[in-house]
Amino acid sequence: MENKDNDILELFANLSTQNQALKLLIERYQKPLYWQIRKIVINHDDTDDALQNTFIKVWKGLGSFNRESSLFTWLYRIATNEALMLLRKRAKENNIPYENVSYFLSNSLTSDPYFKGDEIQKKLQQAILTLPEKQRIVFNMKYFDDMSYEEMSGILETSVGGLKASYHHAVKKIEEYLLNHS
Amino acid sequence: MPKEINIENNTHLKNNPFAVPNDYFMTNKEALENMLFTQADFNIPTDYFENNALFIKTLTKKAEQEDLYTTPDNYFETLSENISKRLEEMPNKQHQYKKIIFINTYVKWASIAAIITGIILLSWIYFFKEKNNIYEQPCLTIACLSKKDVIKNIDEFDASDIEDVIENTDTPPIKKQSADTLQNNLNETF
Repeated sequence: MENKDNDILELFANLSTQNQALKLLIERYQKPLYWQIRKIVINHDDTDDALQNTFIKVWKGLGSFNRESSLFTWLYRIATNEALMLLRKRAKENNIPYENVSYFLSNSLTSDPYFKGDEIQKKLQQAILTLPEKQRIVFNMKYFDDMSYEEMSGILETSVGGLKASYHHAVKKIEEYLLNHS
Repeated sequence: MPKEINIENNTHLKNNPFAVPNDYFMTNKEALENMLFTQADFNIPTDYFENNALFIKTLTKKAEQEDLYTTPDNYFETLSENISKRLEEMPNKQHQYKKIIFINTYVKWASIAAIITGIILLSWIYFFKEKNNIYEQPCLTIACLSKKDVIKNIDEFDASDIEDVIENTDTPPIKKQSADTLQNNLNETF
């Protein structure tokens, strides 16, 4: 992914090809970033908002991107950040403590017209929503996107050992939830 | 109700259950491009990019506390193997464990038996002493005397009483009688 992203950065470096860089960036990352955000905020409209904010931030900051991490890592970090910021905003708008945002998300899941999963998939999503935020993000990235721990480590700035522990705990909690709610 | 659920090998659950409106990615791509090309003045917080990772950490700070404990590399990968190894070593330990259980059970029953024996012994000593106490006390009635005692100490009695005294010594114990028998005896007497 890192080698692939060099073309975007090279196109962006030249003022005359910056628009091409943007098109390529959106084309390549629109879907993965959408799904990264969607699994955090659940609702499609909120995801759309957060995705737009993500690309705005990326577009504004790409000039100062220092290549300390890969572009992929940087984009995912911004997308995750935007998703979490949006959740905070929604909690504030609905006058609910952020700790209880999972109830809000659970309701959002139930009423989401763009949820096509069956009963067991819905139950899995509800189980995921009971997890602490970071475990939820780690679980989604590993379970659904099969992302490597090294990539996740770069995005979430957490040790590989810590991520493995988070994932392991998340799996156990979800299995327990499903067992108790079956 | 299932006893165990394994989500990691469930391919159905791994499918993405979320959907998007028709042509969303197509139209969104255009919308994003238009938005970014046409609107140049977006306000971004100062140091947003410098602190981006920090934001995520702050936002997930509470959850972070649960991750204070990490595991050594490859801990979970080798966990099942390590458990299998330990299980192979188990038979000897199991034998030892059974022994401990036996000793513990033995001690428990021995303690209970000792307590019961102690209670019986103390009760016996107590009642035995009480009984002795009864006999140790002076009787002070004629009924407690035997004929031998009367004959031995015959000088102590008045001649007129001797016949009555002899008659009332060595009194047999009162037998348990029914109420009817007692009534009959009374009727015969009076």
